[in-house]
Amino acid sequence: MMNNRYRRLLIGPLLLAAGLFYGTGLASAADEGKALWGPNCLNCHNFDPKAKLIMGDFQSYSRQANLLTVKVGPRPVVVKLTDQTKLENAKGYRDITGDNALKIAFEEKPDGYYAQKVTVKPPLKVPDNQLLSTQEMEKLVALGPASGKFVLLDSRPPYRFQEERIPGAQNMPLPNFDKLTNLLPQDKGQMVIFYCQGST
Amino acid sequence: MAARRAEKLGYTNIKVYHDGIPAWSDAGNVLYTDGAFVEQMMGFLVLLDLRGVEAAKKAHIQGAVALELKNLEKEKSQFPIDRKAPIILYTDKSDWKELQPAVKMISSWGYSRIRVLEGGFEGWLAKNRPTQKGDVRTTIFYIPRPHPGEISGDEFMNIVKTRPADKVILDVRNKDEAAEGTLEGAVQVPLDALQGRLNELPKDKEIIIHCRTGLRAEMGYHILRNAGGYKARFLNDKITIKGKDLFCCYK
Repeated sequence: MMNNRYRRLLIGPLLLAAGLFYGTGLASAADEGKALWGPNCLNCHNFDPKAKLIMGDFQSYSRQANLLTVKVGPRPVVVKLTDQTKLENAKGYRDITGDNALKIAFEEKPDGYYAQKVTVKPPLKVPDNQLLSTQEMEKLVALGPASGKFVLLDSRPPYRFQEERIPGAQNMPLPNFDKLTNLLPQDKGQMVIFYCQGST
Repeated sequence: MAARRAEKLGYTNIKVYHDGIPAWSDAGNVLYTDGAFVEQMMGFLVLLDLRGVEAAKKAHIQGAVALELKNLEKEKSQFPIDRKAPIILYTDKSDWKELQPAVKMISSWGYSRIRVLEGGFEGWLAKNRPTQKGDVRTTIFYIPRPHPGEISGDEFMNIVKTRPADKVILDVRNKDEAAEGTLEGAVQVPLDALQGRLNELPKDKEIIIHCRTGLRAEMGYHILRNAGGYKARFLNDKITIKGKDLFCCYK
């Protein structure tokens, strides 16, 4: 049995090491540009060193200071909003939630990153005949994968799966899809259900 | 996207639950969580042992509160004010169907982060995770997990009172807010101007940042961290300064 206090002692230096890493300067302009692209975004988008973009997940918004915090991987980056900043796919900054991925075109000035355009990631289109509603899911989950003859796959990263998952689900993180095809059924006609954090 | 990749492999009966975890959870459905997550968040969760006090006295998960599943409705008033508090439920096996009514009820009270420990107490034991015997809590308590760089209210107040020479207080509120009152000796830099005025801040002292609610103070902390070379912490709590009166620290 591991003592809880001992575990906290272990976490301390890890956080410190992460903090030191996060505080250090970055080697080159290309590295610096890439450091503004979240690892999840790189699953589908190829890094473009010419594009001045910050790609990450919404963390917080302050109306008082007109600033937005975007989480790029584990690193929060603060971006300035101005009257000229365009907002796409959301009515206002207050409508953006923690589940939203953002793409921000910016200009770098000595006093910070100025957002030119903030784009909220629109949901991917799924053909109607493939969509399941919450009610349909409830019925299937109640049957379970064996009786319901389906495989339920969670495409989110392992730490999210560990935190929460639908009963009966198995984790098949999108970046490792090709390595985890053994989770798919032998019979290619069997029902395979995918889900993730929401309409992404 | 996974569905398109499966299609390419020849799968013909693909479905997508596009509304995903948020919609599943909002409808009051059960989400399982892993023992590893519970262990990692220990101390910052509402962890409910629903096998009742007698069973819990024999052994329970460290930090759990014992309540009776059938009496849960009566305990509503002692659930935390913070509706985003992570709430974990478990029984011996934590079968989700057994706990579905409880999850639905707590969800209807407005809580958004309710999870059921997969495998229950038996699964916890099987993994040799930490347990306790004997007395068990029967009242709910909840401490939110501090954000990186967060300073406690007590320590903040102590710094305000004693003004140690190795620390400086940074107030990132706007000018109109600061006009109503400021802490003695605090450096005033509105958050939107912070990045351009970093040279006004010392690198040899710890910078303690505050605003009015904690939101801007945290952003200020990240600006200093990203700039590098600064030692900083922030107050993640409400603080009101009216002339010489200071109202602070509700956590």
